[in-house]
Amino acid sequence: MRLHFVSKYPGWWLLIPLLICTLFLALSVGAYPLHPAKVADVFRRVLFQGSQTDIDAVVLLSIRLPRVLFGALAGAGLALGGVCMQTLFRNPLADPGLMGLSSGAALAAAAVTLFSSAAPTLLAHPLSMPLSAFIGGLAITSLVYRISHQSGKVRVDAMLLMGIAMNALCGALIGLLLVMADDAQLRNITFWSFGSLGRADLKSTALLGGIMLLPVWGIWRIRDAMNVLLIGEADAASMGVQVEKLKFCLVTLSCLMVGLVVAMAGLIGFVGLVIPHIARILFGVSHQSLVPSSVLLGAIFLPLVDIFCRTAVAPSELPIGMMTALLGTPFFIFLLLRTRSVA
Amino acid sequence: MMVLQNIQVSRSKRCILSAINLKLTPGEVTIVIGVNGAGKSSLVRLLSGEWQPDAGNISWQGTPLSSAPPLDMARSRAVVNQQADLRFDFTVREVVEMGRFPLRQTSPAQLELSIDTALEEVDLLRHAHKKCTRLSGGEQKRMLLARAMVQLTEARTAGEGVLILDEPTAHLDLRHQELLLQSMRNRAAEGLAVFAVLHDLNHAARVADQLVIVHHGCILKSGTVDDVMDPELLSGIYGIPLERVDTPGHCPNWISPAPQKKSSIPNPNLQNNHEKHLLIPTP
Repeated sequence: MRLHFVSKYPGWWLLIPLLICTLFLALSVGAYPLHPAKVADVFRRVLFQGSQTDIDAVVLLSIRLPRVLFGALAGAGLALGGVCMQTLFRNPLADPGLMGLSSGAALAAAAVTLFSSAAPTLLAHPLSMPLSAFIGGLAITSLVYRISHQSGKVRVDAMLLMGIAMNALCGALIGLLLVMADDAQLRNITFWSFGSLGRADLKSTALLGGIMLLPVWGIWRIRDAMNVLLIGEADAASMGVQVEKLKFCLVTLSCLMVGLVVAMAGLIGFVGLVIPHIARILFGVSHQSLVPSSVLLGAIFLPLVDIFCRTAVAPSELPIGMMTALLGTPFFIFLLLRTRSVA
Repeated sequence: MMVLQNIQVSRSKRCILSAINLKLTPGEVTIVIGVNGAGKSSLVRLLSGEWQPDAGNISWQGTPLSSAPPLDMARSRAVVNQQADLRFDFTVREVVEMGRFPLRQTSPAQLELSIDTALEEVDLLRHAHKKCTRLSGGEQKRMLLARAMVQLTEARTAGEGVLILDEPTAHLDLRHQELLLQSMRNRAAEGLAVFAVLHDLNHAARVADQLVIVHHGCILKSGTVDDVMDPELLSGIYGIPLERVDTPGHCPNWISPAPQKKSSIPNPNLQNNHEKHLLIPTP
């Protein structure tokens, strides 16, 4: 299926116009439809006449643009997080949630929701939920990483097992918190765990975009070492790769990206698993093309799914985490079956 | 030159290697032989830097191996491990190209040339765009050898480096075994120190400048092929009767399993063992 010319001519560039078209489409479609010509007109007026106050401009610039851009950044971050985890575990079925990042974030978010009434000044602040989710996810991942560290080396198999154990523990604790929660809290926790791009605003989008530059740049810098790691740790070390440092970088950078997205948008599963796979099928396994193609495909995929979520039951909307899981699960089963048949 | 002095390695309170003293000399092929579990692969792990010795020193060009920067060391030392663990569908060319990782700035044309030359030498040029996971075990081994050759591009030009091979002839057919042995000699001719673990005594006898017998984690004997290839010693180590067969016009040292005269069950193949060895092509 992989096209031979792609390896010679970096075909992932073709995704850039596709991304622009997708973003334009996502800006146009919604409960309040905006013709693409109107979208272009608003941008033209803002560019040449300054800020606009008409309804089209308000809908487009205050609501839809942050959401669409946030969706694109989140999709890119989740996909790149998936690439990092699959390289770290040398397994195409690995996913950022494997190290307990998502379950740790969900546990922290559930705890904050439940105990916000106990300390309203601290925990009822709008930033407390994303901040605690970010810290929760990071704490569980750090714990998994630390426990897997033995005599100067991180054992990836131990990390995998620890991740599974931590996910189970967090799941149990979330269940306990849900039992203690009242109806309103239960609803909040459930909706947060389904994920949504509806909470995005210009500030959070700018923050996510600004912080994501660092991991994207970092991963691009280590793309050759990531390729070599896929051949095996012993081989990589003999070729001059500092394997332990590389593992630390992969965990840190993917945690930073995925942790931020989860903290701001809730749990959005399967993007980190599915997008790198599609990128590998289309553009090959080398990180030279896998990193940019995963970023672009992730940035295309999530706004597309969000269009469906926003319009399917308009004026209400479907949780995006649920939709990505609905699309991702059959694909995951297909991958498992395909891997088994190849093996 | 790589020098190992009084090396001792223990794992889980068990002594795996002890009193290892060895020199890998530029331009020479050093072959290690010994029974399974003797410590040959442990020696490879030690030389490749995967394991650190509990006692003793390993030095490369006078510098302790542990203090050499990983990238500098990777430019001078390449390792082809016993088994490839390939899980992702890289093309053969992509895997061989990974050999450029430790190299300093190389021009694309020069890199292309060294990749093509390496692929040609291991007879994989026509499979360059094949997925590496689809290759047979022997083809994968040849691909990794090509990658090691690209990795040692600078060392080969400078004439100082070391190539470490763990059971390189395993899974290879006769023709490619010959190609590989020739490739080992070629690398030595370029000035590299070549170190390999081999099980085939005939191959070892043909290609080695220095032959080392490892037994129970110690170097039992080392020296030239004539010094080391003692049928009595080898018979004792391998636990089967072995004899030396001199064939006029061919390599002087041939070790061949002697017919089992007292075998209670006659084995029709056993009588032909001697002739079978003579079928192996010789230079």
